[in-house]
Amino acid sequence: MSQPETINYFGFCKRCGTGPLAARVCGGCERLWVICDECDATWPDPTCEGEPIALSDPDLPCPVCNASLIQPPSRWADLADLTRVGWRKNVMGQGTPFGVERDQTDEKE
Amino acid sequence: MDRKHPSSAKSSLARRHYKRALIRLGVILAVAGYLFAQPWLERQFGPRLAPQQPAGEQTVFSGQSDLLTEIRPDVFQSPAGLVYTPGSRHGHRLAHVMAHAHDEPQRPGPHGVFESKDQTQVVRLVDEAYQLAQQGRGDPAGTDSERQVWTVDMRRDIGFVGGQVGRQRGHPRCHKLRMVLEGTRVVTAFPVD
Repeated sequence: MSQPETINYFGFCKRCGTGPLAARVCGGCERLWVICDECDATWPDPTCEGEPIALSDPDLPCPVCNASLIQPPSRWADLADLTRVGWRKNVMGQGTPFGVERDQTDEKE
Repeated sequence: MDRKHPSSAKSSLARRHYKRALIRLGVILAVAGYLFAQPWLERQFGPRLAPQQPAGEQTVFSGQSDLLTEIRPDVFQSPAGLVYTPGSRHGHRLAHVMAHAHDEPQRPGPHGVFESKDQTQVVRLVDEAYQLAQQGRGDPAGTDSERQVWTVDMRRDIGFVGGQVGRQRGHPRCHKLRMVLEGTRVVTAFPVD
């Protein structure tokens, strides 16, 4: 069985008011972006100040290198990634990203 | 002794080659004709005639609904004019909205869960909220130049709060629906309390 996916979240989205904000590592340039797990609003750092960056569907292209922030090899940042960029202190907690628990239920069924 | 004349054997071989070539051409024309006519045939007869996705890549929603109109490939429009497009980690905005039909107890924060797990009913509910917002019965807090965020009081029970916060709070019931739109395009929609 594969390791369940985990997000380390920094807070909750001020746009949709509900989505956990967590970092995704771009599969193209390895830069980290803070993305709302509900509405995909994106910020360049965990302070999430100012207007979010609007990334276009369906792939949410990285603003730097254009690689999809949704498709692998892009992934949720782990604690080592967050330590590397100095964002670990901003982590409020952990949980599963949207859809992962449902996927696990489907696998069992 | 039954011996064929060499020229007769040659002509029989040529006929066989000709027949095979005709069969191959027929098959190619049939396949080409089918591919050419597929959109029209689908419009006429409804169901998809061939798999549109590679095996193993199934979406969890169904675009085949009396309620939704496929206005472009994989783009669906609701009766109220809301549009559901490919996008999000669920693969499609409709699948993303329908993922709110199930609780995810380990998901951080509040996770709104629709009472109904039926796609038609959920799409109808989102349409109703959109129409109420158009009539002025909605709170546009969170709206910016790119996106409109509406919270509409549906004045009835439409679901409950799930996720980590919902579990801590005893899954309070939800009477409001929040939707994030880009024009008429649905980004997400879910119940809130």
